[in-house]
Amino acid sequence: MTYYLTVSSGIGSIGRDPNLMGLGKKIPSILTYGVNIVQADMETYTSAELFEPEVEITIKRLIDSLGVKWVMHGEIGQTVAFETAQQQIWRQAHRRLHQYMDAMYDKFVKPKDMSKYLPGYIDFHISNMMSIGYFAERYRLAGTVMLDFTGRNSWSDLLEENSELKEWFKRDILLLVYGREVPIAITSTEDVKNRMASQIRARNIRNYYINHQQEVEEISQDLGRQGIPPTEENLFQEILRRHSDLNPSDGQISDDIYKEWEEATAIRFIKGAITDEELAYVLVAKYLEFKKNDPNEPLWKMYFQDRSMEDLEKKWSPKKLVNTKTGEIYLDPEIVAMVASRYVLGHFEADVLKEYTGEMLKKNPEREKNPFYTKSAIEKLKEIKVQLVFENPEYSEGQIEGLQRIIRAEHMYYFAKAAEQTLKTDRIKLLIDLNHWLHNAVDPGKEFDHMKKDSSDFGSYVRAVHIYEPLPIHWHNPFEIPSDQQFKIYRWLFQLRGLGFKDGYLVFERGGGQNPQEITKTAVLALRQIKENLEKDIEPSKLPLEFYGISPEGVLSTERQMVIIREHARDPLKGLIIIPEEEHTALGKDALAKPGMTPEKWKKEELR
Amino acid sequence: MSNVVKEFILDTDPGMGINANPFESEIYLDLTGPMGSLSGLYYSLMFQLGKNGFFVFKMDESINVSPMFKQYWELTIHQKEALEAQMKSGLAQIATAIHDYDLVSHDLRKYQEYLDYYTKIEKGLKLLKAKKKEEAEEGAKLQKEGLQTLRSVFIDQVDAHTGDISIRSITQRWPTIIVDFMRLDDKDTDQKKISERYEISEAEGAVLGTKNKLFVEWKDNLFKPTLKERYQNVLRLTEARKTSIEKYSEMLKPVVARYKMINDSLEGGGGRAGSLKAFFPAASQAFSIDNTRIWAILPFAPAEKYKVTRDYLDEIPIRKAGFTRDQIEELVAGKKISDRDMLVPALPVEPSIDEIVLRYLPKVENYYKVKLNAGDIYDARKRLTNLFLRKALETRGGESYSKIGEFVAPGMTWTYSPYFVFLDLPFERAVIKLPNGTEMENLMITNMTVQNRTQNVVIVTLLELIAREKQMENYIGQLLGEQGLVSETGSIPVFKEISEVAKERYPEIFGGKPDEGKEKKSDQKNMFAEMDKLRTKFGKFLDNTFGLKFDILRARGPYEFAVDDRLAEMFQLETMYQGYLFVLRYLQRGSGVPAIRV
Repeated sequence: MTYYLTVSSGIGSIGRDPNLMGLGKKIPSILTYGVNIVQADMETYTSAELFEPEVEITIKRLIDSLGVKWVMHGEIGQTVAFETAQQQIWRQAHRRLHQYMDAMYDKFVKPKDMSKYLPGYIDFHISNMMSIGYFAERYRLAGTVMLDFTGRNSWSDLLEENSELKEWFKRDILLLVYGREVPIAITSTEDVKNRMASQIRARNIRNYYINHQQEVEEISQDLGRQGIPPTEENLFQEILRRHSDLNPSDGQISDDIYKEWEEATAIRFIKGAITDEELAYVLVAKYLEFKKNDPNEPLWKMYFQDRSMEDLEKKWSPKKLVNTKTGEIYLDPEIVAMVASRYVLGHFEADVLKEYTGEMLKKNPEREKNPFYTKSAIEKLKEIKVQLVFENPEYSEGQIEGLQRIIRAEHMYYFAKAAEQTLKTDRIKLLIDLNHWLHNAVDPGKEFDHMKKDSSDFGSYVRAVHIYEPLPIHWHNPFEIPSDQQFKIYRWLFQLRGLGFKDGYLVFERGGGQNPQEITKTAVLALRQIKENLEKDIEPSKLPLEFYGISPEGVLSTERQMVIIREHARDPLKGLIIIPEEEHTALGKDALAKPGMTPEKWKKEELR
Repeated sequence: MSNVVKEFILDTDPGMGINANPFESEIYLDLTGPMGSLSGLYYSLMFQLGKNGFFVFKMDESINVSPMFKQYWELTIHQKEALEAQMKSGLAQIATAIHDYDLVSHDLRKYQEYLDYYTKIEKGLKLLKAKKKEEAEEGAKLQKEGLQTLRSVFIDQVDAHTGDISIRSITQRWPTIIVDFMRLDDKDTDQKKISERYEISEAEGAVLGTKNKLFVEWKDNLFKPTLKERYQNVLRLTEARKTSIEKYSEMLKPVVARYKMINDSLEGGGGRAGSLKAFFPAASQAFSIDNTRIWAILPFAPAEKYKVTRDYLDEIPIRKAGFTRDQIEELVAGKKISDRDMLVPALPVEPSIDEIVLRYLPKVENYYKVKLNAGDIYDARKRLTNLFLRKALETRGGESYSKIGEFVAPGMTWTYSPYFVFLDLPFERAVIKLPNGTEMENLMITNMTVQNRTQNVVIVTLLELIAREKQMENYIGQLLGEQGLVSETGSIPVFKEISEVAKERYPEIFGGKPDEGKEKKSDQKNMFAEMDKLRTKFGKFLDNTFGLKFDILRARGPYEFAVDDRLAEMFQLETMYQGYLFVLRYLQRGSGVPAIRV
């Protein structure tokens, strides 16, 4: 049970640093940082680093010869936005997931004896998309096809598989869906229903007429006797008067609307298409409600236990998930997080995209014979045996900090537990970035307090923590030893340890651009103290002086400082003539005699 | 002839003084003789005048030696050059000593400054134990001042060298850490207690605790012992350096004086012109010409009056001697006299510092370019009183020379009289070395004049002597930096000691008396003086209008005014006999003029 001090490589494109271009260069980048584990950060918006020819050979050589270990931070942003229903993004993210799985397989599993060079984890942000529900999301992506959580275009599939869901769909939101997806002039839901009833009625009477011609003749004669001309309209009305059962039932009407929705969307997009992500989220939320007792769909229970949507709607009152009268959709943050989690999990269950298979077969024809490549992501993950960790996200855009779909500890916990339960794996865990919470206006301490009440094993689902100066802005800054920041971080980590985070990676995550000394001189030393004291399970209030760097070997070593104080004790008398104090101290006098040692340099180096 | 008093006085201010020479008492003498003969005569005359009772003093001298006269040139002009080099080196030595003194003083001040901080802490601690609340508060304040200053010094000059973990650098982490550090007590070393006491984070408390330990160690065990030890050393050095400056200055004064006394006549325009006109060629003839101007004074007693000599002088209040209140204040401040003993020996005529003395005072200043003060007037008068006492030493019961003052030397007792013979003897001695090796000398007096002077004019004469001495002292003082130019009154530079210059320029800082624009009023002009002036005017009116000589009406003051009856027939006889004829005959006899008896 230990913690592994890790420093991230940073992203080469930030500082245009040629030393960070490619995994082969990123891994040894931390050699001078005072740690031996690196988090190699993938460049944003490209997976090309995964496919660098023979990069695995370089990685093997580095690990074997330098004794370093590595973990990986996957891409961030929409290319790995697993939580969305939007087809284009979903498919891109799905392709990426399989790319990562396939790359790991190709480089470290398929070749013999390479699995030990796999990264300790691969990190993805658990949520990368813009918020939903709170603001006018529908207008941003409306009109593009939404997928269900297993990546299917047609929602008919999900509805057909789940009769309760379909019934609810037809009863409660069909008209809303119809109105949005079928391009005809509609003034109201009653207008749709009347129009559909009228059509059904006409069809029924026509059928009756064909099947009961003798009776229809008699009715015509009766009308003639009454002096009423037997026009088609008069005949229809008289038949209907005599046979009220020819009027359509509500079920018939909704069946017809449903059918028309499917047909109309088939013409425009795909059969059973929904082009509004809010509606997709509504459908999945309702699906999860109906499936709450299914052990394979544990999310509803985790979020809402035995409560129903109706119960929730009472709480949300006057809001409802879907207000059929006003057409308003209300997506509570809990609903959003739950559905988003289902979407993320869905990527592991979903079939690999045919287009991706085709793309890769073209590049690697030998794949056709290997069934691995057609497997789902969870099957691949289990075979590769690499650890995936999902991290609380940074803010994606200004002014909506904290509104990512999944960000709170509780939601992440449910996700990880659900993954464990449904995907039957411990290869999907969490990574906590303390600063991501801070700059999303989430207090890590309060999060952990909250988890302690209901989910005291939260920490056991955490494999790593990203640590840098805890600031309310997204800035990967080192922190000092000693400093309040160091103490603050320790306090939070101690809380997390109390929740079960007994081992894992403590990662100083740099953004890029800083020089190595800026990191090692402060943050790594501080992290060493944090690790040491965490492992000893020392409460924050009982931290020893060593924690603050005050020990003979610490940065604030009293002994070392005393040497300097003694050297400079008489400096206030400097400038005096009789016994002038040496500007650069007695030690400095010798140091300055060395080639290349300038006075300025010595001043900087004196305490190093 | 005096340099300053050129007027007769008797005619314009009868009774106020006399500066008269008989018409026959001027003569040009030009003697030539073998080498050394005339020099011997000169020295013999000088000694004889002293024996006759004259107070003899030199008022000017210069020399012009042709380089051809190598031996003499080496001894004189070249010697001046050597003195000049010695002076330069001596001045450089003084400058170095002052520089060293300044440097050491700078050190001393610095050490004192730090020791003052420690003193404040110690005093503060003592007062803190006091029972009185005010004293305890004062103690706390003192201790805080001392400690906080030392803490600042520690932060900025000692701890700053700990680099990234210095208190100054750590302000990036804790912006208030410097203020927090200043608030600490020496006993604050535990981070938790510091955190609780000062309501700061424990991390900052940990840093402060460590830094405070280092501070206390530095303050008590590193810096303080060094200060104590070095302060004593530096104090010793300071005293030594200060003494060196004084000693170097004293050592140089004779050199400067010697230098100044060798006046190359070519330095002056007159000397250069004279040399150009001289009949011997300066480039090819070995010669030397030296000029020496001798003045001598001797009181005489006119018939029927002032027949006595005095072993004791009466003592009179200094006010009666003619000094004004301002002058007396100045004399007391300059410690010339004591404010408890305001008595001075009386001269034959009092007030001795009269209108004539005061009238000629600015002229003396202007001629010698020296500012004279009350002390100088006092000194001139005192020299005269001392001269009157020159035979009185033994009878004063063994009172030492120094106590009575300078210018008291054994010799002929002076007649207690306000009338004096004044000799002006401008000697010009030429020494010529001919190509055949013959050397000859020529002595000229150009021209000898003898005057009858009253006591006040003699005081002015002595003031001239003092002015000349002051000229020399000013020159030396200025050269050595002991004196500074305070101001220029007209064309007269005013020199004062450097400390006095500072006081004058910054009285508030150096403790001088600010100039409050007070006009010094002379109280010597009294009602009687005004009446005297009226009477004089009336006398002049009678003389001018009717030709009636009513000198008794015109005359004012204590001196003789009867020109025809007394001055011409009695006073001038003494002047001619004791002065003119004596010198003339002495020189004639010394030059071998036959049948001359002195």
